[in-house]
Amino acid sequence: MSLDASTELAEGERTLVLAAQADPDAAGRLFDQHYPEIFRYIYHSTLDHAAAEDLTSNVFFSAFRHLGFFRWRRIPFRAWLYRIATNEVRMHYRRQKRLLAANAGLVDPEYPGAEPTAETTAAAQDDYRLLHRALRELGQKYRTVIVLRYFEGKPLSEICEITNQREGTIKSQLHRALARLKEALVRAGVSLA
Amino acid sequence: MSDHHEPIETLLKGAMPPEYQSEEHRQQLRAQILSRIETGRADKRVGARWKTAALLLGLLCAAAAATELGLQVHRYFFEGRARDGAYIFTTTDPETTYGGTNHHANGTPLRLSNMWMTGIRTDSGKELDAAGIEQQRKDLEEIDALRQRNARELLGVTDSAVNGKVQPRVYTFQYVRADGRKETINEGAPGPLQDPSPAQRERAGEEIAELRQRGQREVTTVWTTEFEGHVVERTLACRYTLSDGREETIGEGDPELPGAAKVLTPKQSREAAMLAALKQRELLGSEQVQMYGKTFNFTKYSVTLSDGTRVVWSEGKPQGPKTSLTEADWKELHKLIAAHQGQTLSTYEEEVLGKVLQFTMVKYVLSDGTEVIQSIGVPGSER
Repeated sequence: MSLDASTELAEGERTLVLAAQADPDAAGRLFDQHYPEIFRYIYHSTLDHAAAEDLTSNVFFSAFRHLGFFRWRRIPFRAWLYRIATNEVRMHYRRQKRLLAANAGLVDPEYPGAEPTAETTAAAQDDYRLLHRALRELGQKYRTVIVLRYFEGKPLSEICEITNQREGTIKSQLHRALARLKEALVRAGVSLA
Repeated sequence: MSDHHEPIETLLKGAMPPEYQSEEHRQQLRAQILSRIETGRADKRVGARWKTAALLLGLLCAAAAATELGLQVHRYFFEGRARDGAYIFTTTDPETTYGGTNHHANGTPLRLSNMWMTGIRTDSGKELDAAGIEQQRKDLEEIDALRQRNARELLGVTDSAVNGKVQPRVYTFQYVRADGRKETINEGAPGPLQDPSPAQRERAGEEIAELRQRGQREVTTVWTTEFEGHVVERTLACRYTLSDGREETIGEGDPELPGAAKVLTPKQSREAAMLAALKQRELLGSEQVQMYGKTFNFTKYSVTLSDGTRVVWSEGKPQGPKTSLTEADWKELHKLIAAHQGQTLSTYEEEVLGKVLQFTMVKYVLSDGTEVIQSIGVPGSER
């Protein structure tokens, strides 16, 4: 994209965000632009239908309540939403950890609400479930960079914007995340020749 | 990624995440958000007020403490006169309402205190003698009492953004004094109703402590006091982004600052910051300093305290586009507004404090390229 086109895009986004603070039409357009990918990101991170709906609601309520605090020139609006979503996912896992500790043995700790459906029986989706199970053994920051990079297909520059980290840090986190994921998969009996 | 990660990368790239969509959820959430926007945005400005207030405190209180403050006003005192002739009043001395200890990222203990105070600047264009200043002080207290009873009329509100940085909303109220005099005052978000509850403050405080431990903060301003050639105090305005997207800016001491052989007393520290804020200072010059991963432009001033002590007080801002207007910028903006040299972006209605206001959003560009978006809302019939 040329610099002019990029500037124009940013200008359009700024105007839309500013207008969305008070204008329901603009707010609706902003919501429609970003809802699908934020919902998808949260669902890929949790594999839980109910959690994906609840957390996505939290993200948009929070974002629209605080639109005035979004600073246009710091990060794009989309990255800001991803940042809020990442925090929601982190808080979700933290709450779940506490819940599991309090109800040890009562809840399946591995797969809350991730029921396989007819559409999710393909081998590639089984691989994803396997990966997701192993990912849950990783720390949140490692889980986040893997999901963003490999499942949401984000370039490093956008992951930097979302996580507020430098590119070198992200590369190093990805490297460590892959090593830990490999260990987790090997522990689960997966052969990675 | 290195070669030994190849098998795992292949697995990741080949995995297909299951998809799930809920049109019902999308529609319901959309309707809820739009409905909230239509019914107003009364709860949107709390953070902005905290931010402004905390920055003010950074000027008034150079103690090494994390601080928050609000607008619970009781009595007013005359503080002094600014170089430009304005009279400066503040409320009671800073009152600590909460004290505790936390830790910086490097493990250094951090004293926390919440303070509640405010400052008012008045400039009627008249010279006031002692009796006039006392009358002004009483007037402020009378206005404050009316404000706390909400005995006032909303004339309008102004929203603005400077180079994309949203500024706190300004409310214009008209007050009628006991003797019938009317006064129009621009002020921040109204009343204690919008102040965060102690529980909200505590939750935000916990999250900020976590972010601080992880070093996830943005230093937006640095204030430094030098005495006899040594830096004796350094206060940072640190901006934290909370998980709900809200931003908080608070003043903190710098734990990296080495201990100085000579220090100022708390009274001297406060007087230095106050005199600097009142612009009772001599410009020494400016310099660029690399710190906290950024280049800061510092402006240095000499300040002489009442006991004859001379200190060097400086304020540093990171390089980048302006996020607030200088006095000269305001003058230029007022000229542009008077000459209607702005570009109208949109018009809309919004209910503010129970009144439906008609807003017009206009963009102005100052001579140095600074972009100001201003949206003024007034009751419909006044248009």
